[in-house]
Amino acid sequence: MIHLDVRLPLSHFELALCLDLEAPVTALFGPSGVGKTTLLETIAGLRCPAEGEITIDGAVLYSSSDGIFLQPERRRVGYVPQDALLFPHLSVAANIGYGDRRLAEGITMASVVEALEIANLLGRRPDNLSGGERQRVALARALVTKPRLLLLDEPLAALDVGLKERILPYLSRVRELYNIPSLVVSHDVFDVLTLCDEVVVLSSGSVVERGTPRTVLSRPGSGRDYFRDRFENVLDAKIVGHVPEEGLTEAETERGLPLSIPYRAGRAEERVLLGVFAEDILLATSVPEGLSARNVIEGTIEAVEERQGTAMVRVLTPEPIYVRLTHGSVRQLGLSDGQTVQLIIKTHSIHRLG
Amino acid sequence: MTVDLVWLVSFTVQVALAGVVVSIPFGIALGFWLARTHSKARSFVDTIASLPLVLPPTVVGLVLLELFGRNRPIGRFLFERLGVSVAFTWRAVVITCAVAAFPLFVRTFRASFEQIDPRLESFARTLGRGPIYVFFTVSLPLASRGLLAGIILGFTRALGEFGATIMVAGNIPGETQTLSLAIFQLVQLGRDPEAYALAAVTVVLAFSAIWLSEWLVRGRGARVRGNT
Repeated sequence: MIHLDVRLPLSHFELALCLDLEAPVTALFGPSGVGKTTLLETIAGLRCPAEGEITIDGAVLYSSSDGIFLQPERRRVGYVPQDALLFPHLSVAANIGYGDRRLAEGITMASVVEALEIANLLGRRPDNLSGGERQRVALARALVTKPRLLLLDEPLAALDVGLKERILPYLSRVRELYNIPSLVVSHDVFDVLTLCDEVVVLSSGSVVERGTPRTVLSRPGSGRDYFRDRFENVLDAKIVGHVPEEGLTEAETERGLPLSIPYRAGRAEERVLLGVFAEDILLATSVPEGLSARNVIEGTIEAVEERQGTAMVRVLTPEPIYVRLTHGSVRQLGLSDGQTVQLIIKTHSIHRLG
Repeated sequence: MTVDLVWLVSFTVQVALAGVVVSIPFGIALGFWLARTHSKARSFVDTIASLPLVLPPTVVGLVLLELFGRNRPIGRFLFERLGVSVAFTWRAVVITCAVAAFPLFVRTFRASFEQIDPRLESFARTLGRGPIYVFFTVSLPLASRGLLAGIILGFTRALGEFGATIMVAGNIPGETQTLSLAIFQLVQLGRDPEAYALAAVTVVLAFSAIWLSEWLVRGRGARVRGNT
């Protein structure tokens, strides 16, 4: 169990939280600038909190009341920073072998190299690795020291990582093979659902919400930064019927919103988590006709937030759903709070997350 | 005065090298500290370390004489306890070389350490390595090109040291006389052609030093970029 009780004043707010983490893999959620990276650095020993206590399975890493501050090299906390921070003057093999492996019984270099599929990179230099390769090497470097806790800062969101190169399957494998408790900063709904057992949502340095990924993610807003590149609406629904001859499955969300989704055989009453990207939803001010889209949903605009030419419109349907529009569309349609609008969602824009 | 060119060149290079070797560890320690510290004493220490660069060399020589003269605190201690005399011996030349190179070391070393992302150093410690190990395996190798350039700069400065040397070590042919001191003496004696010949030798030395540093830096660079 990881016990975190941290107070650390930052320039705009105070990081102040008290958390006991017991899940094997916990996701740390929240918009940028709420102290997620700072929290990871504090756990790793790269920053000293003003007061509090940090323990891992009873071992004290930091305690202001007992005057304990364990140096980072004695914490055995593996940290994979967002930019990987590979040593530029060392080969990949030397990077991986850099750490102290005296306590790393049970984890061999060879098994990590094999699990992360980096054997062919060992002789290369960090500056000619792709983004995804760099992350895997950084992960391997942390793993081979057999940390008591693994901290991953947005390993799934590095900008230059292509879809093919996603680290998620490797993280799942690492989880299976080595079973090291992990704290993962991530924004990707699918990744969090696949990998994590618990989600902790941070806002301005404190915990505003926590729970299973399912419950936290399907609650809209929940601390997610919806101005990020792609925002996924997550809806907790159950299957109410199948119409295979039309290629449809009918579902209904917890708050009674009916949705037509692509057909997939399954039992009725099955619970599903559905995802719709805010970018994939059309918004109309009147009921459209002659459309192929199966889901035309009436709702009320709750809020229109604009930032840098892009707008997020929050529509209560009764499920709150975010729609991303351009600034031009908002102005042309004259959208404002309280207005009744129609949301149009193609069946195939809705996908199952779990 | 007879000019023994071989002796002069080898003596000059040896004292300059010895001075640089003495000075480098201190320069690295102080340069690294200045690059990483947030202490308020930083600019004060920086100024003190730069003094030998901005003061007239004769003043630096005077200060050294105050410290290492046989009746002065350090000089007396060294002579009475260890039987080592410093002033007006080759040791004084080494010390002036070290002092002359030191501020150049501190400035260039500091700049090279400042170019390293300090997060790399702190991050390395999360892999279970202590600060000293990290310093020698991350900070030092990453700064090596800048350090090398600084060392060459300091070495060439030490090669040409004159003002402080003549104050503390005198100008004793065959004992403390370096190339630049010999040139001065030859001109004084009106033996200009020989002075010019020695001047040409110093040019060759300086060129070789710079050429060597270029070669080392480029050689290293080629290795670092090896796989692209």
